[in-house]
Amino acid sequence: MQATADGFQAIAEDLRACLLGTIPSGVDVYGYPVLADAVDRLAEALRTRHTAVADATETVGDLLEACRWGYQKVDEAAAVLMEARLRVMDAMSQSTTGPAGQARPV
Amino acid sequence: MSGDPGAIRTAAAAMRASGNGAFGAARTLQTLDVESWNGWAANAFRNRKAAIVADVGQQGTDPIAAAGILDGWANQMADADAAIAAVQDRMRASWGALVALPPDLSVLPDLARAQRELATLRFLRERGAIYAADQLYELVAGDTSGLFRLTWPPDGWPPPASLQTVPLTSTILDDASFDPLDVSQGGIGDCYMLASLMALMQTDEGDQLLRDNIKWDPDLNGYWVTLYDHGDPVRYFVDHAQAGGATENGSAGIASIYEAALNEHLTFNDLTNGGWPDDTFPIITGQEASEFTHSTGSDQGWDMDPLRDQLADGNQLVASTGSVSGSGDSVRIAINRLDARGAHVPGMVDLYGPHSYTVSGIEADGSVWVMNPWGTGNYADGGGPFLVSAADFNLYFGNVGSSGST
Repeated sequence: MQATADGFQAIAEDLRACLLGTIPSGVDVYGYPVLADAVDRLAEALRTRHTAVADATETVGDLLEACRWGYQKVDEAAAVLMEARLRVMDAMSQSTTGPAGQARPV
Repeated sequence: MSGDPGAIRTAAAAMRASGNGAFGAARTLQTLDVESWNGWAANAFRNRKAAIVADVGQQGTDPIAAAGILDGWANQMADADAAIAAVQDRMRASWGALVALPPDLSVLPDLARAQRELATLRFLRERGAIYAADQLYELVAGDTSGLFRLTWPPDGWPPPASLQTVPLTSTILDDASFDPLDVSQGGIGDCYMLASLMALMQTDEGDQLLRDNIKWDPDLNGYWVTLYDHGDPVRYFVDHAQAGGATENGSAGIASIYEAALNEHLTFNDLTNGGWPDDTFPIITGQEASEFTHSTGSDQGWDMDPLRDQLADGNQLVASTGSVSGSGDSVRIAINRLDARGAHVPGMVDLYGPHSYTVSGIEADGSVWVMNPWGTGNYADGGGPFLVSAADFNLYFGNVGSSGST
């Protein structure tokens, strides 16, 4: 789970690295305002979506990491409980009678 | 003319690099899993991962598709600019001969032809840019990820207003010859419409129908054109024709008016994107049309009797070629023309496809008289009626539209 979470984070970084950068723009390049405008709008759309995809990838990594921590906390809590239970059982095994001479249930 | 193919290719390369990077990320994402993890949370994780892989993959697909569109436009622009430069060189040479002493007046027709070619080339160049922009918009609007979506169509799209237009004068109807031989297709891909108009211009009834459906409005300085939508009349007001579009004897004419009205009816991209005569006749006439088809190149051949029946009933025909050559868009064929005495004179022409030709007659042996809407003096066949042999008609023409009763 740790490896997978790290994998998602790394991919998010890779995605940010290949975000479309500045490209040639303007009527002088594309010849006509309609095409220059279309390229601008397309590039902006691609960048917006690219960033959203990278963010979503990172979020999956974060959630996975949170899940991992959740599992780890549960594991730790379970270990503490188990240890306490063992201590109680150990202590109880040291005596044969309970309070006021009552026989220990067996 | 502005435009820089090299810079466009640079933009394309940047988009391709971005897309390839996203593809790489998508491939890595697919390898990630937590195999030993089960339960609701695990299922939700795997569903989310599948969605992310799809989104990242889309982020690879679209920039690479956009790069292909831009590379295509860069090549088209470079080709157009080279062709424009060649025509301009020709014009300069003709002009030099014209102003020389003594002036060479024989260059005047070529000078006029070069001017028309220049207008057409510029028109086609701009049309290519609009196509490219259209594809780019469609690319983003077609995104299914739901992460980002452009409003489609964008405001003001498509932009025919950016194409140059020429005003229509009030005297076109009075001056019109209604002669199909005067019509010349320009840079707009509407041969199907012009061949249909030319077909109607072959009869007095057709001339009258076209005339009746055009009215000059002196208050608005333009024409009201009646077209038909499933038989119901629809009126369009036009006061400009597309520069580089259809002409009659080199000027705006009836064909230009109809082209402008069809432009409004169909929108520019549909108008210029080709079409079928049997779809077009009803828009012009309001009458039901008929379609006849035949598998080109088959041994069976056309059954000419139904086509002859159409002509005998006073209907007009337009025949359309499919792809005529595996390696290009034209094929050279032997034809016949009529000389001044009515005798057949053999010749050769380039037959283009896919393209529509007006039918002006069918001979007893199944050979067919056709006219190219490219008009008089065109580089493929020179214009005017020519007789295509029955064998070549079987081989290259796969569709015939009939006007129906006019």
